[in-house]
Amino acid sequence: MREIERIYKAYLEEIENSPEEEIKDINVSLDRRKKERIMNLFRKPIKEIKKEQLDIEEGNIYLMFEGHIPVYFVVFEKLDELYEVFKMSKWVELANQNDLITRINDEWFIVETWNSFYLTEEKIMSSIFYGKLPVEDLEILENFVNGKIKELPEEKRGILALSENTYQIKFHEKESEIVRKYKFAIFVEFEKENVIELPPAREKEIKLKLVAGKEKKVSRGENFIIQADKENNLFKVIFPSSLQGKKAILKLFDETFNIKELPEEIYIKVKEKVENLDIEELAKNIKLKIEE
Amino acid sequence: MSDINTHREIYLFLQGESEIGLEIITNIFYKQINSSSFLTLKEQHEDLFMEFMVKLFSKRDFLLKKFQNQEDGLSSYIREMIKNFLRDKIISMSRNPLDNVNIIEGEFESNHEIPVMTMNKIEAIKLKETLEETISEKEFILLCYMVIDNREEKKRVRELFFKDLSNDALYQRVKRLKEKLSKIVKEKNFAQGSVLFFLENILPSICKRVKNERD
Repeated sequence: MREIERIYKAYLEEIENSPEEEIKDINVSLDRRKKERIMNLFRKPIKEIKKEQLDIEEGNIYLMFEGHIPVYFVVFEKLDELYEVFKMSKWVELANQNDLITRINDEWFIVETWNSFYLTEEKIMSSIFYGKLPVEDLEILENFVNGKIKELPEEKRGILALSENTYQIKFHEKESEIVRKYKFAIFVEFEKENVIELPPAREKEIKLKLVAGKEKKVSRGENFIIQADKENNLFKVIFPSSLQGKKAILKLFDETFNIKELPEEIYIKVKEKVENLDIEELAKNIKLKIEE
Repeated sequence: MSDINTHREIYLFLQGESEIGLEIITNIFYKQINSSSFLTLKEQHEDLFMEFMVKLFSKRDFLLKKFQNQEDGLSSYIREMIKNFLRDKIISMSRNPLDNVNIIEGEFESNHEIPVMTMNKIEAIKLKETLEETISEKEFILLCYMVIDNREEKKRVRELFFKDLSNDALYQRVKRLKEKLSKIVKEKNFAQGSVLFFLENILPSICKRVKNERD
């Protein structure tokens, strides 16, 4: 087996099993003398442990655990409610040209410049503060992410590897999977802002009389499409891309909403099941006016 | 050990208060050194274990501080430390065979060399070994000819080794060798960077040797 193969295998094993599962059937005992020697070493007095509580700053590195998988990350930018962070890893040998190599607390690390995700303040504060990214490396990261530099400096990046079957790319796929669930947090937060609740009185107005076959899933207005989403029990109002980002006034029955930047979609939450509501009646009562 | 809180026991061990914690670490270490990834280190398990424990001791204050408010994670962290430690060992062991290879870049041994650079070199050497097993000496000479940039030099080498071949025949050979090489690279999952490293830093010295032998 090649070294890189062995290392990739060791990496996979770390992701797949917890150390507890791995040692379930192992029972290695040290001899008495050795055990005593080690215990005596660790019985030496401990230095005073100071509590550390730091503000969350750009460049701070933290360690959290996703189950049994250690996840290191560096804080990049504060967004409204969330922080954008980049995943880091100690599996430096598996890095490619888009991984920034750095040294923290005398250990090699990579910053995965292609693998960002989003965490809340609470989640970061409950993680272990591990160190700080050197200022010059934070600058490289910013410049690379913002496109100011096209490549990472040669002496600070991994091996050039682009094809799918290389160990480097296999490693990237796994690394992305580990934090996948945090990648979409930003959209969930975003969606919350775009939810309008339909008042129950209005729901009654558009309730379908039980006429078989009348329920429709899609309807449209002058400048939008409306869709019934059964799975999430809401209506999606979808706007054409030519209007997105513009200032708009949305009228839903007699309620008016001022929208600074029109998103791609707005959700109308209802209490009644969507299939029992008349989507065409609802569409008639939605008016969108673009403010130039 | 199913109902033992491994995190807690390891934390206590670091404070010199739990033999169970030491047993857990011992088992994690032996699980790793017996795994196929680190099999080559197995013979030295006793020395490596003690070396690791000394390393762990040197990081004790750091770990006690970092994990003081945590309820979980120490066993995973220790396992990662062990994997790291053993990885360093296999990489530094692989350096020895490299000493025999003339790498133009010069100084190879350096304590602070980035592991991924070392890995790149190890991979390039593996590529060299793979090629030595799969392509003939004639093909090696052809490869040397292919990578020459200088026109005069190229002409000279063509004259020396491929005098009897027509342009077309030579072109066909080059094409076939290219296909063969790219197949090898793909099948063995070599990264482009390692191939480049081989072409730039290892192949020239092989070519020089071959040429001297033939001259």
